Amino acid sequence: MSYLTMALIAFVLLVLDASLGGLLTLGSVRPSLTLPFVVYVGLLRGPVPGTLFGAALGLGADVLGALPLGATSFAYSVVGFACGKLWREGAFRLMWPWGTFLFGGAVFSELVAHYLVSRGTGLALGPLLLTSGLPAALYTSVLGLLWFLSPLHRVRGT
Amino acid sequence: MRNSALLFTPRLDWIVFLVTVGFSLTLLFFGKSPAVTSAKREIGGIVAYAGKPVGLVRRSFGLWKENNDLRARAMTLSRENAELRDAALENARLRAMLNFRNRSPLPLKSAEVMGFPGLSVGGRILLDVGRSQGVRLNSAVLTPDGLVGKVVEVSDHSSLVQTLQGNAYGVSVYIERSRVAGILRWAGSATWTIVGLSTGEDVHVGDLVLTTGAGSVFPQNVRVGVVTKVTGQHEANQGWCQVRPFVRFESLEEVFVVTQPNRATEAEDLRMNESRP
Repeated sequence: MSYLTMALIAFVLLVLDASLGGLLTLGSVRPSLTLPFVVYVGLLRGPVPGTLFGAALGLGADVLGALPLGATSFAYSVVGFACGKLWREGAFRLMWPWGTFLFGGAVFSELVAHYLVSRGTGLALGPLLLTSGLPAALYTSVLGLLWFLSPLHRVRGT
Repeated sequence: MRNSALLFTPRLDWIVFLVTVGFSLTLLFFGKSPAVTSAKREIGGIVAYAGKPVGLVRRSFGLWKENNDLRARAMTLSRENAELRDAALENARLRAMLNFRNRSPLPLKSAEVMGFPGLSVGGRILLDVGRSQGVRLNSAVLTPDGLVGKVVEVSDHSSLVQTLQGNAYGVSVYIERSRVAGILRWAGSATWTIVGLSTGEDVHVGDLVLTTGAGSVFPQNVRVGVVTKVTGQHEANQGWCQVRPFVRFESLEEVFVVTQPNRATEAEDLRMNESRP
């Protein structure tokens, strides 16, 4: 997959996330359609593309979203970098790398988002994270697994 | 030369990472300048147009359900209509007798929901109307079911609405039956609570909650929701009186924006005019 194709997919995902995200909402829990792609790029292409795609997609999500500019960009950059770096250089091998990295990335991303929401609204972070952050991370992971299961199988051999 | 390339290559990922994270954090802490905000609004508008076809697909999914709901509602409304016609005639007679001024209806602008940007707790919707259609910052947004929220960002042809879900602002409300007033606040997840009520006030499950109009952003007497839980004591983050809004924020398709200026929109207009060169 060329970088141009990846950029196009990223843009389409961003538009879909903004347009269709509400349809996928369960109660107050909403998945992210863009985060699995950041994890995918990080695992498949390494830390540099992972960081750059994460930053770009996060910036796009910030422009369209509820969080201050730079918040999602920061979270996705860290996720993209961590996925690429740990998968390539980590001293461990996982049976289900995409699932583990995706869930870890989703938890981190939700933690950043909920921390900012908690600061903005004055609500306690713990209950907020438990009632909407962790379920959203789980939801994103399940959707991401369904979505990228077969392409990510190839990552294990790299 | 080769040695320096070897030294540099493994660090490239860290350099890219640190630069990117630094850029993001700079935006996060210092990215609130008018130029950045304006660029954000414009890009939001462009993506809103890009997502318009997707919005049509989304809407077609809801048509069947909406049709059934509308049929059921039409039945109820036709029955109520007959009763209201009688009441309206009587009301007109009484108002004329008392020389009341006829109240003008709120000027409303219908808008289509283009998308639901944001993360799981965002609670924001993107509308296809903006400043050129009379929408202003802090304009109230409603549906026939009740209050949705208020406009928090506006460009020429699109606007971003912060719904009651995930809101950082309070809405001044009162209980219709007992006229007890308080501030409605989002309490996380799918829970809303009325704060500012003393324990033991006259509030019961099933009471209707309406806006008071105080604060001038939201019009008076707009339906907000219904009281779903009254506990004997304050709970952490939950207060003692919980409310369920009538509006289902995740499935909104069309809304109405109140285009009548209020104190908050006028203040924003004044601020914008002053900032222009």
